[in-house]
Amino acid sequence: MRGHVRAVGIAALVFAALAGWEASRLQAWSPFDGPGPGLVPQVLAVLIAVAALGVMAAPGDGALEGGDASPLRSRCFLAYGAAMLGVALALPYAGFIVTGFAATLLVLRVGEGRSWARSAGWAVILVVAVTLLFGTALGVPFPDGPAERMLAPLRLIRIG
Amino acid sequence: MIDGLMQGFAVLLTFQNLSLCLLGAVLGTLVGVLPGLGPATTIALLLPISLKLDPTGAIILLAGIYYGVAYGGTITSVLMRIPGEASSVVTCIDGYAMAKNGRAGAALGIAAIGSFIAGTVGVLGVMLLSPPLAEIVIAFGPWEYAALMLAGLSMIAFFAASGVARAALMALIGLFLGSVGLDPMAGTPRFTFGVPALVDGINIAPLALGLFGLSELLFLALSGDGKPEILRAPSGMLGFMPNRQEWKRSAGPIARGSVLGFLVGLLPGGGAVLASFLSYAVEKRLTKYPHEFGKGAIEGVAGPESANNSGTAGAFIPLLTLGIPSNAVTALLLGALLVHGVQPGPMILERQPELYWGVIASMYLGNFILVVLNLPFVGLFVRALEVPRRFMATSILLICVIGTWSTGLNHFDVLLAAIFGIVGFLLRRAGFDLGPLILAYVLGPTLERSLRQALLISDGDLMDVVNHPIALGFLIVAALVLLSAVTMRKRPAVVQDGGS
Amino acid sequence: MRRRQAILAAGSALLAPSLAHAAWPEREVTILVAYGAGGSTDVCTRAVASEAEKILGVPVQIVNRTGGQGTSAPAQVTTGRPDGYTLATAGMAALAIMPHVMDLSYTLDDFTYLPGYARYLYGIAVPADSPFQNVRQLIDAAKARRITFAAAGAPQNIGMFELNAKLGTRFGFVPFPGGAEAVTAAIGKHVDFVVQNPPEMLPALQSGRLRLLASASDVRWKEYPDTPTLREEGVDLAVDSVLGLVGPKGIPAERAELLSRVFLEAARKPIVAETLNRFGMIPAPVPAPDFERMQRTAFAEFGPHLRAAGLAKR
Repeated sequence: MRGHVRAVGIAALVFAALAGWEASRLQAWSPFDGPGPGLVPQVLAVLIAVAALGVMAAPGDGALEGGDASPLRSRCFLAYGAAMLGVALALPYAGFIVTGFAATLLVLRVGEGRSWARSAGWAVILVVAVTLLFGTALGVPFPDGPAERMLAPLRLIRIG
Repeated sequence: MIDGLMQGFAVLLTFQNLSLCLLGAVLGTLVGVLPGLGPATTIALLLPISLKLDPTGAIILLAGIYYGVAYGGTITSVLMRIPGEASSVVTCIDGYAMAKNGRAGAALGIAAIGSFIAGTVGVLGVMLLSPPLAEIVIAFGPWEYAALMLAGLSMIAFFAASGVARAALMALIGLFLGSVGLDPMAGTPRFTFGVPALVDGINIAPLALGLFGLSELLFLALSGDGKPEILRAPSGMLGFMPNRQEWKRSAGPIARGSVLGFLVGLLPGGGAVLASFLSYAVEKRLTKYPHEFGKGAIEGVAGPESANNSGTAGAFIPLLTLGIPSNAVTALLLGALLVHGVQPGPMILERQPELYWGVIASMYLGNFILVVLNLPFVGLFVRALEVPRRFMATSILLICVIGTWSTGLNHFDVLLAAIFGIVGFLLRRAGFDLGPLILAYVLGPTLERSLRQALLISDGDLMDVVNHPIALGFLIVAALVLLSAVTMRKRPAVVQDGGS
Repeated sequence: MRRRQAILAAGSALLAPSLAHAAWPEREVTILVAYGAGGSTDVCTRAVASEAEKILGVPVQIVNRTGGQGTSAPAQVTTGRPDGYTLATAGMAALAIMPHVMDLSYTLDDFTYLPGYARYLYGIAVPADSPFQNVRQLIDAAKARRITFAAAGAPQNIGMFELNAKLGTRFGFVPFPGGAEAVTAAIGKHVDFVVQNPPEMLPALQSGRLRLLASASDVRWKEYPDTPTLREEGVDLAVDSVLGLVGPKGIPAERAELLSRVFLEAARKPIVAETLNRFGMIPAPVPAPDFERMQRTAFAEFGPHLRAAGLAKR
């Protein structure tokens, strides 16, 4: 626990330093109307640093939430984490349908250890269901991607 | 007034309007359940369709969605710790803990009943107290808002179970995140780094979904590889409803939440988030079982859930009587009214009484429909807990992604959500409480803006606040809250009394 | 010989349709609206779009691209292909104001300008029991002391800054996040007066809590035909904001002309006027070159005022 709290504290200090540096480029006091854009962020940066020190001074004990085992050892965790980040990064290039399918496949095959067939099967079902619900029924525009471009002329989804 | 209401029901009891009310309620619940897809997005999607209906019907439909959402957001909060709406964030704390203790049904049940009671209280308030309450809205100027926000922020003291420094750090970071975007006064971009998506600030959807929903996903991934069950399913039939002790403990919170939520929802900029956090803090202060808060105290569900429902009703007062929308959703409703040629405002009772009373009647009916819809399905919803993790978690992932995307059609939002998911995981792992972060993020911008507006008006005179008794009142409340939080920490632990 | 002629004839008959102009547009046109659904910009654009649809013969669909105070839609449209199928709404905020306030991915030269179609109206109102009975008194008072006004931002505040520069008044701008908040502040007497659009002010005006001193636009308000405009009161100011359409630079001339014609015609339809009026706007079928000129002039004029008020980027 202590190690983690210390890590958070240090990260917060770094954050405060960066924030304060960026905030110092904004005007703290405007000649026209009192506090400028920079005042509040600068004050906050200082306070965050203080709070971070306070946190590190009293890290407290206790078990880590979620168990003490390192998450990086868990294949499942890595699979979900990679899927999550992967979708976010790949979305602008491959659209939702393809990335969603790939992510689900990754999670089920690598994380949950299911067979290729079962993983692909569920991935297809899930992606189709979500697309029909959000895209067709609710009319939410989908991000541009190869699969979306194929479905748009069929009037199943809109691209936004 | 009674014949106004009778007139309203007469308007409502046509086949078209009844089905619109039902459709709105169902759609609203669905929208509330689906994370990211908020009432504003849905109303926006339905606006073109609603343009083809007559004004009363259109408003009944759109309003139904609005309060249906308040019901739906509870479900995912309790079952999966994913806030369907920003106002359901608080329910994630104790509601989910109750689910882990096998009391998911009780949580959902009390939330539905509390929401119904609060919603009814809210509608009564709209019906009876609109004129005087409208005056309160007008009396709130920059000083009053600043003081109210400070009072709201002082509530963070009640979230400091894990330590003052930790809660303060979270709150300060929340305040900082709230300052990203355009400066409220000068319009200067702050911390946007040239990213166009950040110009309007960090959206609440990626923040809340990431910090709560996606981080929960990562915890799920961690919890015992391969075990099929995520949460403990309740045992037997009675696990689906609150037991007598839970009912007794919830009565006070529901009553207080109804009134508190209504008053806070009334104020533009106040809103359901503040109402639910306030109610949580108040209940934590007043309860006989403070140590249970965070671990599954039913007051922590009953109060906030009631507050956010009556807050929804309260938001209608400025809309209908002054033509002033309190939040993004009522702003949309206002637009819909205008499109149909209806001018909300004090004249609405004279010019279009059937619309006004029709909406009020639909609020009663809508609440009723929602509780009737939700209660029997509690058992069904709770069964969702038995779905194996791989189906549930992947569904959560994809739905969160498309839900976040739908709020702004922005790739950056989705990336932000993923980043916040990881950040939320790391923070929660180290035992930090994310509630203060969200509260500060929501209240901070209004606080800064109001304070600077007040200083602009008074020409830099900080002491001008003494000319504003309402503001002074809130400042005193803030001081009392902080004081009481300090004394609460010194209170001897209350002996546990059966239950839980 | 005969057969060859027949083949040639048949061949040219086949070629003939492709030699003639292919009917354009062939598929739906998309308009990116810079503000959220249900708002005045959105509803008015939808009204114009649905009339344009009838004339064009293809669907005209609306996609809301909110964010950046009205700049995200124009910004996105500049990245698209200049084929005339994707357009965006652009108002004074996106073209004349925000470029001064922050760094944007576009400049005024990155667009093909299409017609303007709607104009926002503005008015100046005071609380009911305010001592000011007309604009002249307001101005005289402002020369003596600081008078605060609430507004959601530009262009109203720029208008008042212009007065400060020209007349030596001391109007103090208090920004509010939206028109409704600004109007509420005036009703509650937290500021001395408010400058906003009709729909936000009408409920309070009609119930008597606010008094309309003058229309800040070039024309009087339909609902208050007896209230003079600023110009009629002798004040040389008109707050104007015209909403129009733009496309990426480089749309072929005949397509741009066709779109211009169609949207101008649509903007003149009575049903559009009716919808616009409900949102406190009036139709403004401004031909494309004039629309472009208006925006460029406004851009040039607003710069100094914004800088003088400390609102421009450094």
